[in-house]
Amino acid sequence: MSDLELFERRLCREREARKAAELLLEQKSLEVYQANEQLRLLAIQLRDQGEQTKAIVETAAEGIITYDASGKIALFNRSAARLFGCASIVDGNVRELFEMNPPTLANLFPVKSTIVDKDACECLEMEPEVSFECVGLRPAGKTFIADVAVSRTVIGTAASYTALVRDLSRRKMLEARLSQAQKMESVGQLAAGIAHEINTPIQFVGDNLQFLKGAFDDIAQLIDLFRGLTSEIATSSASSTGSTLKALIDDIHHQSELVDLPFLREEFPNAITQSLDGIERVAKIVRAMKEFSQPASEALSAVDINRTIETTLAVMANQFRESVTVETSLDRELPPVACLAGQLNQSLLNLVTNAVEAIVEHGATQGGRLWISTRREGDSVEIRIRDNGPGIPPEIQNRIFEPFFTTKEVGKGSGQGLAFVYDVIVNKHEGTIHAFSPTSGGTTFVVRLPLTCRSLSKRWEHVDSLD
Amino acid sequence: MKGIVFTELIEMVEKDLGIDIADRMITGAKTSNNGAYTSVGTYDHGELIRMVISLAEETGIGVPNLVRAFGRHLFTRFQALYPHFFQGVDSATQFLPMIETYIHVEVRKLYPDAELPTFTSEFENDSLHFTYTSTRPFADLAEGLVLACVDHFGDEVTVVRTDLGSMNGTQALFVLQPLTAHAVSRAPVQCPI
Repeated sequence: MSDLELFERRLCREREARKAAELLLEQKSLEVYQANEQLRLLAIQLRDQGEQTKAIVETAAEGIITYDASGKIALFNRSAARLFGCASIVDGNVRELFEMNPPTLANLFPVKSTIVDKDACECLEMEPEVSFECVGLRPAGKTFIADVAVSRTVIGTAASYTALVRDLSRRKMLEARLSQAQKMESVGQLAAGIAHEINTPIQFVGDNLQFLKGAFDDIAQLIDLFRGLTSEIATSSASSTGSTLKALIDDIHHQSELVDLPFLREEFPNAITQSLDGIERVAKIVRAMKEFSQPASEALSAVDINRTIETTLAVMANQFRESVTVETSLDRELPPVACLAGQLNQSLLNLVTNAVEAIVEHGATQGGRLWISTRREGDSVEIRIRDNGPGIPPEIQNRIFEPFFTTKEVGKGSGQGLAFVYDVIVNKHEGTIHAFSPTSGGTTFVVRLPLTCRSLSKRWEHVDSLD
Repeated sequence: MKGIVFTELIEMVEKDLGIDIADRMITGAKTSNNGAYTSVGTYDHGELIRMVISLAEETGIGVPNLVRAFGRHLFTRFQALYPHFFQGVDSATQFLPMIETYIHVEVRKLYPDAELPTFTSEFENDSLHFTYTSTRPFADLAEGLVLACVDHFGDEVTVVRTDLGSMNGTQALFVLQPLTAHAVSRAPVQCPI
């Protein structure tokens, strides 16, 4: 084959190759155009989504702050600006927004086991939300109680944090009012019973005193006669006649019969003893009330749980004496428990009140029984309060500790009693509370309190360290 | 297989053996498009094999030697066409692992459907264990590329090839061992054409 023919063949191949390349180029151009169109639409979609997200973030009722591992703020929405009473502080540091202490710092920068959401994005790691309360700072030294929920995301290798901030001031105020109202409700319920409890001994003490007063008037006349007799004997002379003395003695005999000395001799000690008992009963109730109503403070004290139970039963005695028989089995070796005495008193009162009301309201006017026991379990103290009331229906058993949940009719019960108990036992004392109510009836509340509450102890250690 | 391999083979043959041998190679291979390949197209690798066999028949040189030689040629072409892949690289033991982790990544950006061979790299003591795995039997081509790479960077290493798997050229291990550790030197394979 000649060179010319070879070159012609080669040229032919090159031409064909060029056409194939042009066709390929055309196809690729079309693909690029289509990809470009898709990208353009995607960009519009992303822009719309971005604007929507921005609008949601900016109009959210909660303050939204995002920041990096150094605390540098990247996003600070309008609600955050309103909450913290400042203009946007993007590029500022999140540490400047809260009263800093080790727990708050740790909560603001949570480090937990990572959950990788493969569906969302391969490089996005999300972690469970951490929610806590802390003190938010406003200009001019003002503060507010903030509820902060922090979530951590890891994009690539950089950690980013998102904090949702809510102002709890109003809620705290309402909670305080509600708590006070609930306390007043308890006090109101107790007041009538206590009045009756005090009235009975006071009445018989009064009767006894009345009796003693009347008897004393009679005896006073007898005493006067005795005094006249002794005077007559002392001044007796020859002129005195035996008839005068005899008359006096007759008067004494007569008066003695009127007064009924043997009766008085027998009844006086009884009346005095009874009165002293009555006074002791009143004094006991007053002491119990005094212990019970000690002002709610954050002071940690060593509390004798058995005594607390006895005090509670003393102040409530009138409420259940007629309808409920109380049996106690208290471990006398129980060590004292470090806790908030006032709040624990109120909690036990709520539990006992609940049990008594459950028995009474469901018509068990007779045969109602309440068993209260205490015992030590390792580093905890266990209190069991069991009643033979109708029990808690299964469908509401998981709701009884919810705030505002009540089965009582409108106007009765604030739904705060057991919620308060739960808060005190679980949140404030790191204890546990469980309710067991079999379908056969009756309810048992089991409360476990650690002998030393770690968080409370820490709080006081911290206070000590400030001194 | 990407068209650049086909066009480079034809160019190599035209340049080194002449336009008539290239024409006979194409004619003998009975390719679907009479050798009208474009570098950006994608073609059946069987056509490349047929062209190499056809070339072997024309020249009397064994297919493995031809493919190895083509591998060497391809390396120099890649070097000329894509110099940025070679920047800042000092040795074959540094460059070869980058084929999988860098060069193939870049290739897939342009050609997402490209069916590329797999290269794994493991260092054992001072030696690089470089393994070629493909659905196509081009271990000889890989050897030519590896040898050209070693020559280019001037690494003082021996290259020992061990066929793996079905021993049909779809899998091979290349061990690059420094000469200082082993006195046995390996003479560079000369291009047979």
